[in-house]
Amino acid sequence: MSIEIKNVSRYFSDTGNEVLKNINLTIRDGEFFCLLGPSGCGKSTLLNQVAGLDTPNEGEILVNGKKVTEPGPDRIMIFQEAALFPWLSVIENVKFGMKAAGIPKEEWDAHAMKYLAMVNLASCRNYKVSQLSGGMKQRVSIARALATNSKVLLMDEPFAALDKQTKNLLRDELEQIWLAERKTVMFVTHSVEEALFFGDRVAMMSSNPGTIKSVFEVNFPRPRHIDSPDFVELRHAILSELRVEVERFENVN
Amino acid sequence: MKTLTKKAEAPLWLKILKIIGIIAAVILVWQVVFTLMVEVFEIWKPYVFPSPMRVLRAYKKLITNGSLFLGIGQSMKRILIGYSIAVVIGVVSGMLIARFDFLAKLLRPIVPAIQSLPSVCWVPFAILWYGLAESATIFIVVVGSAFSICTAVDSGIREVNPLYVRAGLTMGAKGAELYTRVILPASVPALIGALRHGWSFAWRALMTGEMMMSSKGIGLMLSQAREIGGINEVTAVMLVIILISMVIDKLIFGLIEKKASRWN
Ligand SMILES: Nc1ncnc2c1ncn2[C@@H]1O[C@H](COP(=O)(O)OP(=O)(O)O)[C@@H](O)[C@H]1O
Ligand SMILES: [Mg+2]
Repeated sequence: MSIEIKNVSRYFSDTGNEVLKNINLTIRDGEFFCLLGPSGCGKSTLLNQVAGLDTPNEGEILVNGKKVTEPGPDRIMIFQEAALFPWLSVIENVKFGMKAAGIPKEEWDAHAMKYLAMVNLASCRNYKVSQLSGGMKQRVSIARALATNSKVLLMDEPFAALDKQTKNLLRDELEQIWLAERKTVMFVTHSVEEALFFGDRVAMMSSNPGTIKSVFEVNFPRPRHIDSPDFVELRHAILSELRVEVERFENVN
Repeated sequence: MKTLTKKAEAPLWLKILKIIGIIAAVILVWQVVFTLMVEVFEIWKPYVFPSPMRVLRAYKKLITNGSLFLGIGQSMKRILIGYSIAVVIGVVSGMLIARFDFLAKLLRPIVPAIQSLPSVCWVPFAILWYGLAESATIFIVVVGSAFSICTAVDSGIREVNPLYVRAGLTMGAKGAELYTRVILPASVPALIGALRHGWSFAWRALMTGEMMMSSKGIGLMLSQAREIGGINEVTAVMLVIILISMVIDKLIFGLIEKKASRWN
């Protein structure tokens, strides 16, 4: 499924704050697309709009050619905090979205177990949410999202709250899953490294108002190594542009 | 994992022993104060300060003439009826206010203001509407707790973590389904808190109602004890009032809250 973002602008009338200005992006079917930018530049707002949790003031977003007006079973959002429901067990959390996804009820258990196994948590199926560590929670929330069979994954800094070791582990897991399922992914991050590890393309945003500043093609093969020469080179290029952006932002304020 | 760090609970017998120890200590101190202040130095008169032994004697009287359990039974009946009505009114109205903006605009400023009214202020209304009938006391219990339950339910639902709502929405829950599968379960701890809080308001309102206008009931026993029985009987009845309220709060609501601990 492709995502077309056309002339999207967003401002909040209460603050008079122009958050997104004339965003145009097309994300191809099966692409891993990373959105990079300083905090506050409107990344989450844009992702929310693709998810149908927020509406642009101007412009429109098409998913598979159909205009987004509300959340839909073709798209699923994964948040920075795992957002698991603490009143449900791990497996019940994973089954939550299956009703709306139209999966037959008798398949729910097997389907949930398949994705719990994929994130290496099959043995924790009956745990309470409070018994999980931060990394385990985020894994369950990834399993919960994948288990809806949505063709589009929208990930809003899903690893930002995790420690480095867990982050690396989940990064590899997510790459494996993506290579196996080839979903269309829109992945928000403020880590250049993360963007270059995952992205087929990396878009850099500039803030105040939020616009797309440049889009980088990342052509090197997977799995990528963060110390390979082309990785280091591209990271330098992006970082220096990002630095200009952050300094500009600091001067404005 | 967090489970491993959970503290082991003290065994039940140790807890009970501790409670008995505390009670014994309090009674001992009480007896010493009584002996010194009333009997030795004669600073306080025996009709203003109760003694443990005489309170015990008051219990013996209240139990043998049957009035204690009759009174407790009567009060329990009233509060169960009144509290149940208050729960229904409070929970339903609280949910409606949380759900509909026009109701919220209209009622959110008013309900807490009415709630802050001491229940004794409702007594004239109760008498004018119901006379000194049973329903007058029940009315006091209802108005004494329904508003507090309403406010707490409203704010409990309103303060549901928006992240849960967004997660529910992205997984396709909307409308009534979002309400029953996300918003309500997410606000369960707040709902239990609202009921617990409402209970204590109901209990206070019941005592007001019974002291002012009832026949029978523990509240009435307290007024009668003042008129006839004296300080020791007053103390005996007050201890019963405290005890009942404590037992229900700690045992019943404490247990329910423990049951709901998987929310945290
Ligand atoms: N509901 C809202 N009302 C007013 N301002 C908002 C709202 N949501 C986001 N913003 C503003 O929009 C800007 C971008 O926010 P966000 O999309 O969360 O940025 P990012 O995810 O890139 O850090 C911020 O300045 C934030 O204050
Ligand atoms: Mg954000």
